[in-house]
Amino acid sequence: MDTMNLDAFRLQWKPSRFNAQSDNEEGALVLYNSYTGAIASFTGEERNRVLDCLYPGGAEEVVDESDEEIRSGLIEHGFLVREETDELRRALFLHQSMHAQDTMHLVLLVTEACNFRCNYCYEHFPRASMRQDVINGLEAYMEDRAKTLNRLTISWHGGEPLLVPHIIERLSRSFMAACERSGAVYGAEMSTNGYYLTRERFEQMLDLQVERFMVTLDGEGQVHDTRRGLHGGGGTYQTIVDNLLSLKEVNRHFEINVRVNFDNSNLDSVSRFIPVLRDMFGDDPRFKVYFRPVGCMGGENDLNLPVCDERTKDIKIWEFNEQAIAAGLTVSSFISDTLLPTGAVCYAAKPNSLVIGSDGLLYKCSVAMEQDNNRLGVIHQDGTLDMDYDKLALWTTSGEESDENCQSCFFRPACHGNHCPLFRMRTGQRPCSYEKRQIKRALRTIWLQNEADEANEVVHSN
Amino acid sequence: MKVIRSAAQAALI
Repeated sequence: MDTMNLDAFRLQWKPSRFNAQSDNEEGALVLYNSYTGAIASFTGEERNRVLDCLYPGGAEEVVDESDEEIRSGLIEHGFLVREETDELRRALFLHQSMHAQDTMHLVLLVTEACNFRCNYCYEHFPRASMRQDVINGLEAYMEDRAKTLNRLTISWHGGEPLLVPHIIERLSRSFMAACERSGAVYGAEMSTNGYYLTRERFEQMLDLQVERFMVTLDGEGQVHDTRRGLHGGGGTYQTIVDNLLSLKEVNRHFEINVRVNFDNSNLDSVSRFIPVLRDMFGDDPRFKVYFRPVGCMGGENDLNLPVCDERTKDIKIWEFNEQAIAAGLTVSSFISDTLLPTGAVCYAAKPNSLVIGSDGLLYKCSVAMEQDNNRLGVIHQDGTLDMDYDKLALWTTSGEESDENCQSCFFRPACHGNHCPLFRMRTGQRPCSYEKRQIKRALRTIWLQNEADEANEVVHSN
Repeated sequence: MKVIRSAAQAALI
């Protein structure tokens, strides 16, 4: 392609407004597009040619055949789009796709009781196990609803869901049968404190197609125990660790995200905990680590929590992730999944998602349980739902619709201004995700993990 | 160019 053709090319194509890029210390360039979800890396040698393809008048104007290859790659993955493309319309259309009625995500609070009393917990434990009439209602509802579903995902939640495994068993069997009859794909995940996650219980859950778990460890031994003790007192660390280590012997597919919550009181402890986690789980990539800052979410201890300031949160998340990868751990797929189209939208903002309490109350958000506008109605024993659609509309249309900054943001296809509608309601501020706030660090983390995975593959294939 | 996650793969998810 000569210079004239290069000019012609630039008249036909433009860089996508949904691109983000990260230059890293190793000289490589990482590109990301939030509309296609594509992520690609380029060597230092390719870097200038890529930038020149994307931005006219860029670094260098050396054109050869390998440029053609780069150009076609940039087009294929959406980094370059046709000049006439209306990308804002694309984002709008993508937003509307979330209204698809053939998928459903239910967050089920099978009990609202918990055997832990974590010092930062936002729950108030007013109710215990899911009532029988609510269980009957869920079974009746899904019997009918599954007929028009292509996919059903259940999040088992609480409280501590493993206090009531018999309820999970019963509902799972019922949902799986309904999906089997309709041909819908069924999947489930669970947030558990891990105290009752014995090997036997774990394999029961795998049989019920619960394949993704989130279990929290906030540091080693005493550090964890002072933050996440038993109701009535007592440590929990050793029991959880013994349980998790026993699961390594299970020769089946699963994903366990070991979540580490940090605040100003355990920053150094978390850093020291990473090699401990590596010694336990570094040899099993089914165990992944997920670092999250503690926030004031409405718990009774909120005023006493040593939460990090926003700048510290932003720095520490990515510092811990890089330290974990360097140590030989695998970081959670939550990070790269958040970068998928609509991947950062909270279930509270998705029209086809509901939280159902143990007493049958319907919610959108699983945090603001006492907030009136978050109580949408109730499920009856016959499977009918009483639902306030004005409240549903409030949670699902309070994102980018009225926020010009969100409308013009590179991350719009991923979050649609709806990463946390509760945060926007409570503060009036944009609820940008940690990944978006530090997109260069997030892309670097994903790149580092990819490099580590490839190095491991080479080792294992030799 | 090394593709860490392709557009097509993303569309599937």
